[in-house]
Amino acid sequence: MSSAFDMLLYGFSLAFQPENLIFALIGSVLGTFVGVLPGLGPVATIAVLLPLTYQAGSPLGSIIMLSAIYYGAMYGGSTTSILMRLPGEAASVITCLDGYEMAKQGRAGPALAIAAIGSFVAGTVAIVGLTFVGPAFANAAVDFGPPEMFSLALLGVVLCASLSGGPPLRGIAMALAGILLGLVGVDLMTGVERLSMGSINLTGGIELVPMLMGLFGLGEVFHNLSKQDGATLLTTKIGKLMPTRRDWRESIPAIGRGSVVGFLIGLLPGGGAILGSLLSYTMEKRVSAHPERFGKGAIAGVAGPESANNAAATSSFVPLLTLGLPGNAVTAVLFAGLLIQNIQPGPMMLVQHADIFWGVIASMYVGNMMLLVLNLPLVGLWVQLLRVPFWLLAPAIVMVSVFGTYSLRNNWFDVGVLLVSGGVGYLFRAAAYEAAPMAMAFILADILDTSLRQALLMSDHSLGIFFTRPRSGVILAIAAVVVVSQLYSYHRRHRRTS
Amino acid sequence: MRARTAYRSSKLSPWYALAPGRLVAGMFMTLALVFGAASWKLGYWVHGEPGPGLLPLGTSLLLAVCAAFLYGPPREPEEAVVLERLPLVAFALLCAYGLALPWGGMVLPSVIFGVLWMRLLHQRPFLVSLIVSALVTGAGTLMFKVLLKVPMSLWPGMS
Repeated sequence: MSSAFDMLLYGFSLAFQPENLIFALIGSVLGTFVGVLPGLGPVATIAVLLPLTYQAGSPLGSIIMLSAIYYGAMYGGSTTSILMRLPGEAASVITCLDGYEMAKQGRAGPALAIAAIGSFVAGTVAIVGLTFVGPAFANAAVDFGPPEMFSLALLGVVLCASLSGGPPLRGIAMALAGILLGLVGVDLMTGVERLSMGSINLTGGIELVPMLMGLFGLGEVFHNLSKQDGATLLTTKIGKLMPTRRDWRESIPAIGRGSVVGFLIGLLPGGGAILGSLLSYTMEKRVSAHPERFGKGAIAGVAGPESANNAAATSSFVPLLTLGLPGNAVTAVLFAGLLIQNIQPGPMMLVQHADIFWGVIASMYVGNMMLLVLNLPLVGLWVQLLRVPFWLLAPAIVMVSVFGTYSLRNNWFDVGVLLVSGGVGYLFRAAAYEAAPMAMAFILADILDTSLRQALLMSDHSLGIFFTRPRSGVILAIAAVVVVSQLYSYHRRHRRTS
Repeated sequence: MRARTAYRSSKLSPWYALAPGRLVAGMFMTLALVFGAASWKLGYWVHGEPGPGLLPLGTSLLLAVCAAFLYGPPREPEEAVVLERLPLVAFALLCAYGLALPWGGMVLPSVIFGVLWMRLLHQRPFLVSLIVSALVTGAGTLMFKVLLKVPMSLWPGMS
């Protein structure tokens, strides 16, 4: 413990160097900016900036800046989710559900404040965890074999499908469609091209970011067009920022739970901010005395997921830095950033590049402080930037989404994915289908597929392995309880109303 | 003016009136059938081992069953919604814009798209549409082409 503390102090001595402070500040501002801006997420920004940081700064400075963009985007992503129902980045999707409803009720201020404070608290909790217990948790997560990974991914999909407010069958269908779309591309186990229908553009799979931007971003733009004349996306006042006593009472436990859930999920390879926020939302809905208020402006539905996505974003550095396992798209890009600086992430990094490891961790403490200062007092500035009529905003959103999508891989096919997803997203909105289960299942599809087949190989083709291994069995039992209880409660509700 | 109002508020014909839910169910069924057939071809069991088609085939079957159940008349009031014309016009406009970009460069299609969007969907005056569209395009160009150095051609035939 004392060794970790000493090393952390060493990290602080590096993080407080003027050059690194400037990099952390630039990264935090840029991250908040791209998080706020719909259509330009941290993946695109970090990827585009990789060559620039390589040329401009020291390895530590560039990694500090790239990391700050990531967790800065987690902070900023909540702003457009709350004010416009447009997730600035994928992990803020869940915040749309209650944050936007709060904004419609004239309570955008408390929603934004709780999102910023929750993000700060969770980020700090996760950094403490990352410093002292991170390696131990990472070892435990890596200990998960294929059966446990399959069960965990299945639980994620099931929980998400249960999120959709309407009939459970719709959520399940959306999740199943998401799995199918997520399996398009080269099969990771055999190298065989799968479900790509002969298209060379689909060999690498359907790109996640354009799909999410289309489903959630453009779908919303189209949906808003069907509203009456003069309607704007921001139809309500922001209201005062300070949450009420009741808001605090409901938010503090949610922030605590979200921090822990997000931290644990971020540790898992394949887990990340999106899954963290999703699980946190489901948990808040379940533990709440008023689950019916979720989706209608419950502040715990903002506090929990926003805390969880920040905690997960931070703790996802554990598998990246200590095991060399990038858990999501952003950490995969950061992995590339480390490689171009001749730094090999993995167990030896603590020995060979202790300055990078501890410098980055210490800079996260500093960056979180910067983000709190940036987010709360400057939220009015972001709001003013966003307070423009829809006729002015819509073409700008569309153009930024199109250009942002293209900038991901400089590929027009991705723009096609964006447009198709936008049309489908509108159709889902019109038909009252929630898109979140599809998005979640899409992300988890590869883990589901690979772990299922590996587990079957391990067990000599017996499905029993999923039930006989205790951790896997418990997770599957939870998934089964969730499905049965959802179906039961829906049918009971439906019978009562008909 | 009356014609414009009528245009904005017009809904599509009754043929489409129940469409969104059924369209989604139909889309799911198509996806299930196409991907199911492709998965079957890939093989769900290859050389005595689970094949690459195993999970997609199982998922396709389940999705087909779900889609069959979902392809029914609306059960909840909020399901009985209609598709409106404006979003469909916007979608068509956006598709045309997406197709024009690779050939026409960044600037011209964006300006034209912006003008058409604001004229057709929001009835803004032509001059306002043109100025706003030019400004938005300029800002986008500055951010992506100049600051982020995204390799996009600005004009037709220019790299």
